Formats: sequence, C-alpha cells, structure tokens
Amino acid sequence: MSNPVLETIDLRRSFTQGDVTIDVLRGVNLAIQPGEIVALLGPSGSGKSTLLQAVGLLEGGFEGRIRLNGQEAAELDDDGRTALRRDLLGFVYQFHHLLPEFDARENVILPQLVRGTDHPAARERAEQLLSTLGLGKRLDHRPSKLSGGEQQRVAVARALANRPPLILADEPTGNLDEATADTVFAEFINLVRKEGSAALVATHNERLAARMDRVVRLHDGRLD
Amino acid sequence: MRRLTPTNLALIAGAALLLILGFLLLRGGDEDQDKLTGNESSTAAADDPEKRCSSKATYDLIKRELFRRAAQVRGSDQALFNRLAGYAALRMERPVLESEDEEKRQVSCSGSLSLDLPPGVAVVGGRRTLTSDVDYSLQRAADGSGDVLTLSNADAIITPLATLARTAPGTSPPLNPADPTYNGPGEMVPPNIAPMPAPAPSPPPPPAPEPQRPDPLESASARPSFNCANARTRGELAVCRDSGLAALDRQMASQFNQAMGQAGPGERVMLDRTRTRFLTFRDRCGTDDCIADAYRGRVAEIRDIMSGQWAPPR
Repeated sequence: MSNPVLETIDLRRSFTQGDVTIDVLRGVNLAIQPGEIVALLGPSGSGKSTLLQAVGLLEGGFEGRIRLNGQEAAELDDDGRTALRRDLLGFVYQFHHLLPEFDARENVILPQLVRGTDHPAARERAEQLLSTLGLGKRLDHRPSKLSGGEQQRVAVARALANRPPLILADEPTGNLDEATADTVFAEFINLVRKEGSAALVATHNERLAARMDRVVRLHDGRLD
Repeated sequence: MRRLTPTNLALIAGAALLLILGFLLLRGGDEDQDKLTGNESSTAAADDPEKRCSSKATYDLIKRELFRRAAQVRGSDQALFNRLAGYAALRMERPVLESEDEEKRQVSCSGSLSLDLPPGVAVVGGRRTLTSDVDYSLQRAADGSGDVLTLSNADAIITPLATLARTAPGTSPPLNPADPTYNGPGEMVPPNIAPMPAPAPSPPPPPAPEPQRPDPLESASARPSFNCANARTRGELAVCRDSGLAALDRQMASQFNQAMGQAGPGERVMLDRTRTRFLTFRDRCGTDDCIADAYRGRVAEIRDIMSGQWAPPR
C-alpha cells in the first residue's frame, strides 16, 4: 500500500472560554490513501469543521501530529505550511468564497497562476473543468451573476484546478436545495474520481456519504 | 551726553545679550513649535483610536502586509514584492473604529480598501486595482517600535496579488534592465514573472486608441502641456528634455481636459484623485521608458474612468 496522503495521529483540540474548557477533538487517528474519497459524518457541533481546519493547516492550537504526503506539518514554519496548502490541498467550503471581482474562469485560473502555471495552460484547464461541470457558457460571468449551484461548481473547479492530491470539503452542498445539492454533489464526486484526487468530505447527510469509498464518524471527539 | 561708565556698558551689553537670547529663544520656540505641531499631531494620531485606524503609518503597514502575504502565497519573490509595495498606492474608504481595548492599547478597525498597482504590472485579467472590505487591528509593539498589524478578510486582494505579472509587450514599452539609471517599477519584475496575456475577450471598450510613443521625427517640435520654465520635478524635467515624452504629455493632457469637460461629479473626483497618484508615480521614475509607460497607463486609466470600467473603491 502506498503512503497515506493524509495521516493524523492522536490529534487533539480544546477551546477554553473563561473557566470552561471544551475538548472538541480527543485524539483523532485517521489515514487517507491516494485517490480515496472519505465521508466525515457527524452531527452539527461534533468537530467536523475543526478537524478540517486542522488538517488544512488553517489554524494552530492543535496537539498531535498531521502528515500530508508524508510531510510533518509541525516541522514547518508559516511559509512552509502555506506552500503545503498551495501544493497539496484543494478546499471546497459550504459557502463558495469565490472572488467577487473576478469571473468564473478567472477564479479557476487564479490558483494555477499562483502555483506557477503559465496563463494559456491555466486558462485551458479552467475552461475544461468548467465545461465538464456544465458551465461552458458561463465562463465570463462573475459569481454574483451565477446561481448558488453554479457558484458551487466554480468552487469545485477551483479546488481541483491544481490537481491537488487531497481535497478537503466542508458541507460542499450544504447551502443548496436538495435537488441541486444532489446534482452538484454527484458531479463533485465524479470529478474528484476522474482527477484521481483523494478527498475528505464533511457532511451530515448519510445518503450523500454512502456514495463515497469509506465513511468515518466523528463522535465525542473521536472517530468511531 | 553722559559718559559711559564700565558699569553702564556692562548693563547695556547684558541687556543686549538678553534681547538676543530672547529673540533666539523665540525663534527656536517657533521651530520647536513647528516640530511640536508635528509631534502633537503624530502623538494625537498615535493616541486617538480613530486616527490610528486611518493614519498613513497604518495604511503603509497594511500595504506592506498585503505584498508580504501575496509573496508568501506565491512562494517566491519576497524581496521583489517588498519593493513593489513602495510603488503601489493604497486607499481606504470609510475606515471605521470597530472596538478599542484601552488596557492593551489595541484598536480594531475595518474599511473598504483599494490597492492600485503601478503601471507595468497587473494581475489576472489585466487588473491594476484590487478592492476588498477588510478588518485590521493594531496593537502597540512591546519594544515601543510602533503598531503591530493583524489583517484579516483580505484574501480577495492577496490571492490575485500573488499572480502579479508584467503586462504584455505592446501595452508596456520594453524595459532595459541594462540601463544603470533605471529604477522604475518595471525593472523590478524579474524575467521569471511571465508576461500577462491579453485578457479574455470582453465587450469592446469605447474607442480610444492606445497611445504609442510618437515618432521622434514627427514630434521633434513637440512641447509638453506645461511651461518648461516652471519645470521642477524629475518627471517634468525629463518630459521637457524629450520630445517624445512631451508629445505623450500633450496627448494625455488633452484627453484629461476633454474628459473633465464631459465628466459627471463622481468621474471628476476619480479623475482628480488618480491624477495625483499618476504625477507622484511619474516623478519617481528613473528612466524615460518608465515615464512613457506611466503616461500610457494614465491614458488607459482616464479612458477606463470615462467608460465606467475603472473599478472605484466600494
């Protein structure tokens, strides 16, 4: 078996407010193999987003170890973590967080240019991804001119643009109506599979979780 | 007339000395007063929480932080980005003091930020102005060296800024790094920053031909739009020396005057504000190519303002 693209060992996170300390993560052990799509299930407030924040290297304050493609995150300084996020990870959030001043194509081009891809190749890749997601005729539209489902499709394309080995998705269709959510979710999973990326997808929707390779459940700060 | 005794002479000399000292003190007082005004205002700015939110020093911190983080995202070119920060212009609309912690001497502020890039570089889509609503807080440094900035919600500026590239040949004159006098911003763009290709096809802008550097033969007799006898700044002196630049200046001035004649109140404000920034940039240029580039950028800027394509601060 190849090395995991993501590995957490005894990952812990507590929040303290006044005299009260809440242990949100109490020793999470998780390994995701390349190309594997894993559903992270758990009720609201169970710590799914906290876990994604941790493995996405977006916040500090954690105990335990996080390895991305074998690289120990704790050994990296701020620049190193930024580089790891840029090179290894793609993010899809519940709310798209697209840049409002840039059109759909530009939003997908941007992370590629940051990574050093030349503009023609980045443009071609953006158009190919957006066309695959049914947005071939919406390339020049700014996010405000797109529907919620279309906005989320652009966010999916943006996350996959650099062919990251791991996608982190936090309720990627959580703000869409059920029918649209089903469609966008299916497209998202199909595209992740086609691209060969691994994914950790936080959701509380059992039906959507069943479409993935494996389901892990966060309960009482630990994975069952 | 009474004869002056040594005692009287000493008294007169003493009085004269006192007068001179008093004069010097008064003069010194004036100078000090000027300094005090500056100190007072900087002290006031340093202590007044609202002024801390909107001080020039704070904006400079924000600008440098934006470029630092953009370079971090890009993973390279930190020194280059640091230098480019010096040439970019930052505007903050509606800076608001959100909260204050007197004990920690910390203020939290927000505002609508616009970052104008210098001519010769742009981000994806050819944009040279980036805007976003941002939050920022300032806390006194423990060593007393000033404020420490924490900036958030600025990804809409930082991410595109990380894609910064030299503008495509044709929209910018070829730069000459071999020229030892060249210290304009274009030179700071290293060869490994790819030229930005033309943006995606979009509705055609209103007809306004992109100015080319005039043929020296055609413009040999060109004079700038201003009186060279009054030229003082480095940019003005260069324009007066070079007939090609003089022709560009006339062309730009003519377009500016025409635009001012047609502009509505909002456009007039924008034309006026951006004019100051253009002149500052032009006067920092170290070579004629840089100045020519600045004029071309200005012509495009005026055109964009008048066609509603220039993004005003939100």
